[in-house]
Amino acid sequence: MLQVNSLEKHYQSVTAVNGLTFEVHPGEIFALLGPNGAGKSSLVKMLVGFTQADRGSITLTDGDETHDYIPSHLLGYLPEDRGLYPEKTVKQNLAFFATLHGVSKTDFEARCLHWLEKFSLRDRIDEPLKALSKGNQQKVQLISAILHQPKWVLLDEPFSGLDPINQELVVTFLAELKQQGMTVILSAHQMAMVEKLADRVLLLNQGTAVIYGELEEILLAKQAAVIHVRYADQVDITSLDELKNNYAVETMKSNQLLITLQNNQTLNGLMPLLASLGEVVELKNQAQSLHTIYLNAVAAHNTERSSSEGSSAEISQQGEIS
Amino acid sequence: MSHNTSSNFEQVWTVAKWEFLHFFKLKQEIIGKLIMLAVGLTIYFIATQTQKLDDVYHIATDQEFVIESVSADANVFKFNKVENVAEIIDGLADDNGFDAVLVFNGLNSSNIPNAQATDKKNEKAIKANSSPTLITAEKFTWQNQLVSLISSELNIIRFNQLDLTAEQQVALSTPIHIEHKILDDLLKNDADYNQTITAFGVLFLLIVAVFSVFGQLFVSITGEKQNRVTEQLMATMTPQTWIDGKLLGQILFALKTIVTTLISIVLSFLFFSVIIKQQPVDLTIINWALLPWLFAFAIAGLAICAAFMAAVASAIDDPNHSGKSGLMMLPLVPVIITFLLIDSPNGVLTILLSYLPITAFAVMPVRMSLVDLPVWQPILSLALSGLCFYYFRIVAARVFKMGMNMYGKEPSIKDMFKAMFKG
Repeated sequence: MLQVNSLEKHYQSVTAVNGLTFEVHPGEIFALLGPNGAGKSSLVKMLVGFTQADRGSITLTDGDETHDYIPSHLLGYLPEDRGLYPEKTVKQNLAFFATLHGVSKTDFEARCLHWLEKFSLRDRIDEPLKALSKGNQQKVQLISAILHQPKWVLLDEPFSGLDPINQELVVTFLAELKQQGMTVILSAHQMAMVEKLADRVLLLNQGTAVIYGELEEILLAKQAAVIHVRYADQVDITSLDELKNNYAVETMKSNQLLITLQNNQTLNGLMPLLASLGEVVELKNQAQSLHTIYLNAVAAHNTERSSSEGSSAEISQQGEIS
Repeated sequence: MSHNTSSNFEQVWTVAKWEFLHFFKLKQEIIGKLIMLAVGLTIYFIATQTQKLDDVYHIATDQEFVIESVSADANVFKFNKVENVAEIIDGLADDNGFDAVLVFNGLNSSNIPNAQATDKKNEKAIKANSSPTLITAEKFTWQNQLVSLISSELNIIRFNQLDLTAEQQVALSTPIHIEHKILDDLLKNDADYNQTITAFGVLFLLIVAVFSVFGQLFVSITGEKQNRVTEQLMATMTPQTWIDGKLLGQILFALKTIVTTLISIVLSFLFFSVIIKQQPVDLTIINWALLPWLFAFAIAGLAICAAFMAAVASAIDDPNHSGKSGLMMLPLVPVIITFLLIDSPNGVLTILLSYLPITAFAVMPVRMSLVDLPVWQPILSLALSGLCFYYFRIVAARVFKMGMNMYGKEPSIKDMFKAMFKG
């Protein structure tokens, strides 16, 4: 279990991390989300022990041992700022990192071939890394981070620079890591990928936690009952007025409507009215994606921060006047 | 799921091997040595060919002149007295049958009654203090030998004209030897000059090794930064382990450079003296007793210089835009100091610098070659060097860690000094 309590990190006048508290449970996939400059990299550097917190604590419990960061023997790390040795072959690169972690030759051969096979890179094992595309080099680096089968895997932006097909491969890769019992902490911007994978998420903005918890619960809580309806032809205007009297209706196109159900309104009650407008060809719940939740939460947090900063500036000005 | 661990020493050794093999290329090593040998042979044969004389060189003179030397070279020069020297000089460039003209300016034996040559073949008119002029169309190596032979012959003529006895002639032609006795009992006598040659020889090899290590460490550390490998490496081991591994790898590589260069020099020496010149092997120039000490100091010097370089390279992100590259030249300072202080091996400054770790590796071995020192002195010097290396490697790791957490900014010289005192 990884416990982070009231963690703070300041760089001169900049507060990178401001009172973060969260937990990562063994065996889960935990996603760190947030816009650029939200404090993710600072948090990651503290988690791997590159920098120390100014305040607060990190406690990693591993059996009877506790650590104040994830120690190297338990960690598989893919940094955001990444690269390997371009002149060396794929195998030499992987063998170097595996040997540093004490992986035996037999284990190395088996694991190396297994993962290269998964990423369709087995035939390129003896090629120099620089001969591979950037995406393939990134896949090799992903493998190098986990060949020693660490308990904790920390991946900073594992999807960046990959095409959709390779992003899906990484999703499968991470799912397999979880299956093997590894705990995965990943920082990412690709919400669709995170939504497929993560058990729990922490959304950071300006160094503070904006959303934190089980992904399923977050999606459910932020779900709005918005129904998108598409008709075969233009809708009947007379019947539309009746619908608008009872429901919050937004006309998107002449044949498309967006209807938001209020607290006591149900889809069953809505259906006859929808049918009276014309031939319905498509009806879908416009659920909020993680992407929308992310954007809304960050925007709301920014507004809240600027208004609170505005009020405190006002109070301070009033104080000066009085 | 298995969890693997690797001990600190194993990680250091893995990095050291990686570092060594990254720069060691057996094929290139062999090719390099073969090229060196080929260049050596070419230079040797060109030199011997240019010094080798043709069949006969014809020299026109305005006086009768013959070289009586028994030297084999003398026979290839034929002097012919001609009437019109000016005409021969004009035709030298047109291959008129003469290779040179020797003109004895203002010769007149009647003016100097006691200065007549007793030599029968050279005219008696040749003046003791005459300054002949040798004129040739172009410059060739054989002309140096001709000048040398003429000079010797004229010297003999001068002795004969002065009517000196054989003893007097020997006395005048023998250079005066002045023995310099120094009352400092610690100084070794002149017979031990081989020790100094050995010490400077090892110092030369050390310089070669230090500069190869410098270049490689610089390329290696800044290269890894530019390839962005460092963060992943640092999540695998501590900065100290990484620096230690790199230093070990580079020191091993430098030792390889020293040993292979030494072997190449010795083999070349043997090849030229035994096979080509067919002379017996003479390795007395090497002081074997001093060699272990010299190598101990060479290793200490290499280690200190490498740790210093690691600290400098750790503070550089982009070698093309860093002002710290000039610091690479600093280890030359001890070598320069050694040359400056060599004449006073027991001076206060020399003694002081032979203990100061950053200069000791160069000064102490040379001092040992010149002065009889009690054994505790080089041991103390080596121990201080060892401590210095231990500290420098810690500083290098601190600077590296500092640079890594500065998000693309390079640590300043001030930051580097701070790292010397605070982790």
